[in-house]
Amino acid sequence: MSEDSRMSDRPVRTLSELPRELTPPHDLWSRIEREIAPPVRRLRPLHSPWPVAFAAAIAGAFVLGVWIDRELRPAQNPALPSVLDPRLQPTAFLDARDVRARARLLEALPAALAKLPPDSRAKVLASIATINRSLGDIQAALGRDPDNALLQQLLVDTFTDEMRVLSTVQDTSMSMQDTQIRSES
Amino acid sequence: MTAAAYEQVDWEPALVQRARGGDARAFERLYRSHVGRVYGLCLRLTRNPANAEDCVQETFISAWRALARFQGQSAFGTWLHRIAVNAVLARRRKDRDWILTDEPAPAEPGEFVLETPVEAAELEAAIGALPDGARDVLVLCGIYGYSHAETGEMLGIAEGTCKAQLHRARRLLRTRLAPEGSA
Repeated sequence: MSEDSRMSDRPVRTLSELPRELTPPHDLWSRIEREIAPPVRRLRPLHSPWPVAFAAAIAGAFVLGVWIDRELRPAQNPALPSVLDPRLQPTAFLDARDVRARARLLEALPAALAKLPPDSRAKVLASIATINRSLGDIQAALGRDPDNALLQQLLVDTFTDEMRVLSTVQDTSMSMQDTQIRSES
Repeated sequence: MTAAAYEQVDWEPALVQRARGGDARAFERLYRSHVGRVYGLCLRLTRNPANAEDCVQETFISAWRALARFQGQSAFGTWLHRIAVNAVLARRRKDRDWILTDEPAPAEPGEFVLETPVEAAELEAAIGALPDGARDVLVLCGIYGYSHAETGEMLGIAEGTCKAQLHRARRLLRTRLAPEGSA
């Protein structure tokens, strides 16, 4: 290789001496982190049309409220707002099937509770009162900040808890009824 | 264990394993370790800091989503570079504002004298002025040390094409970096 050739090749050989790492002008992690974060469960839009089951749910909730109010007096009543924003009702957050199931359970609740022993009934009522207080608080907070995904999720979770209690009461009362029928026969 | 011994521990496989399990903090550590090299590659291929940042972002997001498919047969950094090259090529295809011509951009007249060391900035500018195909190969082979086979695979070109592009890139660089009147 001639001297000229070696010299003219020099820039190419210095390529490997260039820094392989360059610092980006901005820290990109926050943007990346937002993209890779677990997706927040999308909830049904608050402006969805009211299904027919909505009316049943409202009626069931009203009956339950009146009944609980009578049962718990003079204990502290659950602080549900007197007029709830319809966008915060269960129909805005639960599937239509769950809304129908919830309405049925609420409708059957007084009869189911009547079959429970007094101490069990008191515990159930206390649970339901707590859940109703939570629902009231969350709904009030959502009224102020309707697009808050965390509050929306919390409301769905609380409705789910309520359904679980209502289902347990229903199952227990039916089981007790079966036992009573068997013992009588 | 001494501090030096600690430094020799290769945490990367463990971090990759944790990231595959959904640990974003482990993935952040991988990001911090590799972002400089990925950004350097993207900047040299795109010649535009904003586009390079976008490609870096796309690279790490794609890597996170594809972590389950990373088998560890190549180094994690090499795997990231493959994703980065794909991101750059995809962006280049989509972005109509980019210069898609393979014609070399006009080079700045240089006062560079071969007897003195080449300034890095001057060399970077000359690389940036190369046509896309030649520059891609030169960056991957010349700066990042990938073989012709690896570079060809990353760029989706034959190994022979890769060699030809590298030869062309070197020739263009020599011409541009030569002192006036000597090229």
